[in-house]
Amino acid sequence: MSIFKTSIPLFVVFALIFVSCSSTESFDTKVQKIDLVAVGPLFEGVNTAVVDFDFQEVLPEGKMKSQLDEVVLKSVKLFIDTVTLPLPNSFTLSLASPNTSMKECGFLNDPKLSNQGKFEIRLAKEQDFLPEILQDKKQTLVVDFNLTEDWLDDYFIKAELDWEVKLKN
Amino acid sequence: MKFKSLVFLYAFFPLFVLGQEDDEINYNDFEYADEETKTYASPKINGLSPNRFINVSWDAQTPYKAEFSDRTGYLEGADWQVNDSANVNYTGGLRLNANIPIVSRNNIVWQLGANYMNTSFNVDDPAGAFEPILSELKRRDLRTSGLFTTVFKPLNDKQFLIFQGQADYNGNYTFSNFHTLGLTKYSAAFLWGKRPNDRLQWAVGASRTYRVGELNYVPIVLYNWTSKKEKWGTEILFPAKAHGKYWINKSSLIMFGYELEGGSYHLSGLSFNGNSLELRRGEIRPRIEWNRKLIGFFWLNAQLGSRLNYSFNLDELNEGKEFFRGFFGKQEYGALSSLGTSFYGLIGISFVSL
Amino acid sequence: MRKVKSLVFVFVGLLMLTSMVGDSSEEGDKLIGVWEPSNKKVKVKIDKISGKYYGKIVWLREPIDPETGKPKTDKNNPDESLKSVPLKGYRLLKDFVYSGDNEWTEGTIYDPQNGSTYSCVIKLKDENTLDIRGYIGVKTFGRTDVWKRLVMKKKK
Repeated sequence: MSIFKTSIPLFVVFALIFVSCSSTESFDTKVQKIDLVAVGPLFEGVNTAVVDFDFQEVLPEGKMKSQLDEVVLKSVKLFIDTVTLPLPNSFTLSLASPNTSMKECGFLNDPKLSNQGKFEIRLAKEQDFLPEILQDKKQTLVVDFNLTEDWLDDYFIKAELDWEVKLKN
Repeated sequence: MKFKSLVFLYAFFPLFVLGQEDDEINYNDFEYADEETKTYASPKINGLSPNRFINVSWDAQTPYKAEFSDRTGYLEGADWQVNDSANVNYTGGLRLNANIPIVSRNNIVWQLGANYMNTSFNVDDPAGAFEPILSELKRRDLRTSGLFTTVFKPLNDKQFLIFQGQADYNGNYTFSNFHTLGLTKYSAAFLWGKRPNDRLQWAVGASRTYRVGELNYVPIVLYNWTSKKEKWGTEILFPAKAHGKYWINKSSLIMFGYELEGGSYHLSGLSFNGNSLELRRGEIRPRIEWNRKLIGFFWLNAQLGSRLNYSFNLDELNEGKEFFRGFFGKQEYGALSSLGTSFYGLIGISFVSL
Repeated sequence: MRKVKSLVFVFVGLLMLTSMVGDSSEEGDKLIGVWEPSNKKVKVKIDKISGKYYGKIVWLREPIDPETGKPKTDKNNPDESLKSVPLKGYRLLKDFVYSGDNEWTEGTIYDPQNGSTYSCVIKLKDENTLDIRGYIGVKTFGRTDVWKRLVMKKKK
């Protein structure tokens, strides 16, 4: 009986510790804007634009990427100056980091010309790999685009990434 | 070349423009830096069932009746009267199979494998003239321990050769009481075939086999085919097995067909007329099989089917010497027997490659 | 004039290959280039991104899916939402790190035929030949394919 008496308060204490340790905070980050460039000359077919970034810069002050619990990439928009640059017939978006494997995050086939040169990427449903990539020391965004003709100059892409993150406290 | 490109070229790459104004970089225009790649027929086709590197499974049969003739000696196909019978309540056991690539390159694949199969019999109150045999089956399991090797050698991008050799050590031995290695049974198969496209491979050849109990030499035909949409297909190695298949999705495969199973088992501790006894055990197993991906490269396989008796006859080996009866041999059996049809189930887990 | 043409062509080719490459003088960069597997169904361009090596499909022998009449996509991708990603441009080889002795490790190879990703090690047998071994878990459970280097046709 005495075992039960001492066990109950202990259980309550452990439960409280567990609850406090496992609490998380969920919020949307500010939209991340990234400029990518593929250095020309570029040839007909699939070309690649790459940029390194640090996901820490996306988080509000005082929050660390090591606290990442869950991450959702809600939307990705690509902006291309289609007045001067040729329109690719597909985009594929991938993320990588030094200590993880590169993963495809989304794609867009047969993009249609729009006034603003804005293209909304179709995102992958499975995004479980994101926290591991985003917690690494640096991140690499890779955009593959399939040109239907040679382009002998540099090719510029602006990307806007909209994240929802859940941080462990 | 587009006007924009030309303007750019004139501005920054005058030499390029001078030399290459009609050139476009196209991967069609690439050539080998030295020798051409040599293409060999792949051992696989699209939509083939997962190749099992390692498999652990359990097989179990429903109860049936075993019937035996007397011991006067019978020719194949002779009429015989039931002299003894017994109810077998349970037949089944563990099966292990490993098939390890030793060399696996595009120009040759050489695999070594080992298999182990244990069959326990639970017989109701053995009695009569066959009491010693039934009691022995009840007391000691039938075991198969085998080693095999397979070589797949593509000759070019379409033709290939397959050689398979196998040594099986079958009987009612235990791991503390082995039989002599002289009782090892050797099987082999050799095939030549073609792989006309990624969805079809076929081959013809010959084999020396103990698959339905006793030694025989039979022609074999391999025919693996997958439909255009990679849903339906066949996997046939006639006469040993033949299956149709249907891929429900990439993680789930249904197969339906049959397999011949069996071997020649030395029964130690028993003899007829001073000769050692061989149990020629052969079964036909019409069945349906479900293969389902569990995680990664681990797959579950489950079979449900019927076990039809092909042979459960007994041969006397004079001084333990094996002989060849084939389809037309006139050697008499020591006794004939028949097993009632039963249903069976098998469940297993495999480590596979696709 | 022919010599000038060839020189210029080589120069542009080098520029193309090094466009995404940091320091092309690194020993591991011997892997960079265009390669063909023994089945000749694709051509794969290997380049370097943030210090690791990746190989993407740049050419398909049969670019059109006979079922749909459209360019082939990664229809066996385990993620349903990525089944329409174009195969042209798809990265079959990922995350290779040069580990010395003409060997690249820690990478993976993807088989679009069945949607499986295998561990992979690449060995440069000679300047123009790769042994690419995809395997499951340990190298024993694998298969080696021979890839050959492709270069732009010399102009005659």
